[in-house]
Amino acid sequence: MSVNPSAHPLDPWLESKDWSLHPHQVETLRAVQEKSCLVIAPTGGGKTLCGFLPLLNQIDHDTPKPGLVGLYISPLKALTKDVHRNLLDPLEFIGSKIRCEIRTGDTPSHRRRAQMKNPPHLLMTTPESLALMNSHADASSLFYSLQYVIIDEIHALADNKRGDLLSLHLARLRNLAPAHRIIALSATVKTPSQLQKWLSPQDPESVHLINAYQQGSQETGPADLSLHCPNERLPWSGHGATHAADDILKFIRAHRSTIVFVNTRAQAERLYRDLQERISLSIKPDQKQIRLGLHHGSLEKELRLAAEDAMASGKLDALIATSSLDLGIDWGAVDLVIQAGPPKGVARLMQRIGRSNHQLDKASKAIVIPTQCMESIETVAAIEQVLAGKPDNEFLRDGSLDVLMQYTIGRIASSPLAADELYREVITAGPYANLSRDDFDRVLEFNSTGGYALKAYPQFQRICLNSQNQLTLSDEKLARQHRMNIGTIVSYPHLKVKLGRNRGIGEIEERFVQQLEPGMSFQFGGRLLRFEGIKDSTVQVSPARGAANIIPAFAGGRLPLSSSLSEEVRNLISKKARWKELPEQTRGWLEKQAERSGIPAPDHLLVESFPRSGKHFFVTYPFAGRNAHQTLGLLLSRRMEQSGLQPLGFVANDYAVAISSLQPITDPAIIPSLFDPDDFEKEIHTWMSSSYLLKRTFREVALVSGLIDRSYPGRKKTGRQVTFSSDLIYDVLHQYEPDHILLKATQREAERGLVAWDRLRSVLNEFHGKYAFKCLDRISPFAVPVVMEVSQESIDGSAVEALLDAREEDLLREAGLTS
Amino acid sequence: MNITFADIAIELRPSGACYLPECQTLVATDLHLGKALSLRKRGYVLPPHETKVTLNKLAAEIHSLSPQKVVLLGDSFHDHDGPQALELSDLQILQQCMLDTQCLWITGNHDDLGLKEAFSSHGIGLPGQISDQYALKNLLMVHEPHRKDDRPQIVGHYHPKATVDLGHRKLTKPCFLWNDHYLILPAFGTFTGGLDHQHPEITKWMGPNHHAALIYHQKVALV
Repeated sequence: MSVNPSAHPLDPWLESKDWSLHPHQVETLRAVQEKSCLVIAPTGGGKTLCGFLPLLNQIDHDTPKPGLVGLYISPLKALTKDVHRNLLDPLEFIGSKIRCEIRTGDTPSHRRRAQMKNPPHLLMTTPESLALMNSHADASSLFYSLQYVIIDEIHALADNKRGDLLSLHLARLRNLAPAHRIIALSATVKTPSQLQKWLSPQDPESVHLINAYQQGSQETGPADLSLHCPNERLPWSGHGATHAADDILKFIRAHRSTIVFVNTRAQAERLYRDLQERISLSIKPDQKQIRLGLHHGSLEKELRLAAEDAMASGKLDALIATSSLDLGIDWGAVDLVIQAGPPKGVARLMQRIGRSNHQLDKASKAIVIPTQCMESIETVAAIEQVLAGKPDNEFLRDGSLDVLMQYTIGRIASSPLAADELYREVITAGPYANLSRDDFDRVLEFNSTGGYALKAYPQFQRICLNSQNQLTLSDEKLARQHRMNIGTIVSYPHLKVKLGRNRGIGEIEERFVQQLEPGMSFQFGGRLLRFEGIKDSTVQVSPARGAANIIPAFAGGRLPLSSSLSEEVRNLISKKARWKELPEQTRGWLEKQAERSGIPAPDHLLVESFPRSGKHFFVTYPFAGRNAHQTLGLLLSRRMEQSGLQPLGFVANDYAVAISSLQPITDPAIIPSLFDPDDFEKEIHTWMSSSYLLKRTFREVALVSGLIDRSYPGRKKTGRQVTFSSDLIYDVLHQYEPDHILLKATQREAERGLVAWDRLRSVLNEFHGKYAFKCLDRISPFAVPVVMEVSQESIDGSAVEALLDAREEDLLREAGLTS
Repeated sequence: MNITFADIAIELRPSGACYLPECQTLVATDLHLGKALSLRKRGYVLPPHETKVTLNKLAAEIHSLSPQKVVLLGDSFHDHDGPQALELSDLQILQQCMLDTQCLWITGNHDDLGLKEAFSSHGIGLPGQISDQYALKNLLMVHEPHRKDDRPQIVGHYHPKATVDLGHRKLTKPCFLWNDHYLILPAFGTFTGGLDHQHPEITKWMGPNHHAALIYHQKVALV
């Protein structure tokens, strides 16, 4: 194998395009001969091609030897398709005979079988499909010839459970094909060494780092990034961009091709509706008709692909999208990205900005439009960080135990091996480098018997030892059951939506459907639909006319504010000298807050209490992100319950938490005791474990670990499927096996996810004894956004009992049963 | 909560059982003992402690009411192997709590064969007696409703649940259902699913208009 960067097989194709190799591509070609590579480069800067160059350089294009040489792994199915299409072009141009195929959940089973029997030279797949391949006995014969593993957009995988799963399968591949090299491709990250460590925990230096940004590549000028505040009044609350719709339309008209990013699927639907309304009202003969598309994760795959195609071929002027478009697909023609709503993180904003002006040697152009005053402060902070080139993403995490439970079943199903051998393999996966042998053994024990102290029914072991002391599955059925449950993304039950008899248009949450009555109409997929009823577990709809006020709510999609951003926000608010950096309306809003309540000093925590619509509200502003505030809401409402204040529920957003109660807080003396950090520390572990946050996390752990099956509404149950209330299981485990490995896994997931205890603890300690309490007669400007949030968490306690009593009283009176 | 059903005073208990003070009779249904163990045969490793949780709850009810008679209204075991699979310590809880009371095991669709075997010559020592129904005063107690019997009936089988809108939230909990003819008890067992009380399987007996009382912690509330 020799590399001469000046004579690459793709040269004729590159010349035909008048392109030449970028410095980072040349360096990758050279470096990968020695070791694996981590390439940090902007999207569209030839990054993906960079991953394939070494393989294409080495392979015999005329008479390729049979066997899999390259494996390309991407976080998105859509991206594998796009990359596949882009690669076929040069391969055809140079007349290459190598076979390059896709394998994802969409690949028909006969194709998958054919791929196992006669593998292509290059296979493009996702972490989940790799997991499926690795759970079969023929994984070793498929992968032994592997020379290159290309991981695209690794930054989107390495900070979550999907990355944990991928890292374990990479460890497996290292054993199956020890000579292969990894080429990992990433967007800009805060600390590249964290990704090197993720790839090779025992020897991070063995991964060569290539940073295209530092090579002064021409294609990455500073972004043309600005904040835009519409002339319309900036709302105090809500997340919609309705107020900015006219301005967004103006921007779309002034550009060739625009992507408008919003943060949630419901916001995407709403903005689509608002823009369409304006377009149909404002058609003038001399004006070009704006063509809009909609793209989000709940839409049927075909509809998403159609929108992508229409965008790529210039049939759309703008596409409204959620994070479903954050990654991947290259559209050179996009010349403007609009972010409507707060970016929540610096790295995320950078990723989205990077979706414009890919192939031109021009700066990306992006406009950020805040949707409310508080969020405009965050937006200003995020733009400053992007322009200063300070991404905020982190990749140091300990691998999740539930993912390991899932992985080991598939690993054992594929080929028996000794426990020691398996342990040695697992700790070569970056996130599991620190896994203790004890935790590993308990994971195995869980997989085998459940790992309960009560040793009932030893004959029902799922894993047993063969004659060579190797772990094997006791029943082939278990492997099939495992394959049904592969994956780390857990969602709440969804139902398919069908227009007419057979036209699937997407799916909505079962919880939303329960609120619908036949005849009601709602908006989905950018159109107005009439709910006809549920038939065979699908939501039947017909086209409707008129105005839809209802838009389905979708869980998730709201990422918490990153800590570095929240610090900046606090900074901007508390220092009046910096207010001039903010939009004028936001300044006015801050001044109103100063007048009606108060602006907290940097080292003080603002706490407000006021009556509103028959209830009392208690609001505080730690700016510590949604998850930490949820936990704080739980803690505070528990204390309020103990003090007889009868809390009803609380709402948390990224800036504040608001608790509603039947009784008011008026006495400032009670504040320090409500926030006392020492008592929190003592209490949290005892009572947190019975909270809904832990139960919610446990559900995910139970599904990922395979304790209970995933349910697939709309698909008939196989009869073997067991769906269970994970809450009930949690209660039993918590009572009888408090040290069970599933509870340990849950605790760990919760603390870094929903509970965010570390972040909350530092806030409580920082503000201890420094509370600025304002007892107000009405809601303050700061409180408006949080009080208006819709997703309230309810408290189980005396208030519910009081309400049930009142209700019963009403019923009895109605029935004439009491006086 | 106290109701009158078929001219008999009945207390609906937060445990999911009901108590007839005049006859000192406690009635509970659908304990589904051994459900987690039963699922092990199918490859699931659910925690097997739910049997203990359910039995301790039953023992607590017997301890606080000291009934003369306990009627278990069917599906006491999740499957036919349930009685044989009962852990010794669990059997002891049962024997202990039934020392001063008579226990009547009504058969259900999940456990009739298993119960019959448990009370056959090679029984395992379950306390009490077995029957397919029980008549008390003008009442019939049976696992599933009997269409051909005119007597008012106390039944189980359906694991009814109800959802109530409290304005700021919706609450879904197991519930008691009754009209003039039927009283349906919620499942007493720990790992048991549920059926909404407006489900056709339930309304075919109860009609859409019936009384419902849901269980919230230590409270039974009319909804």
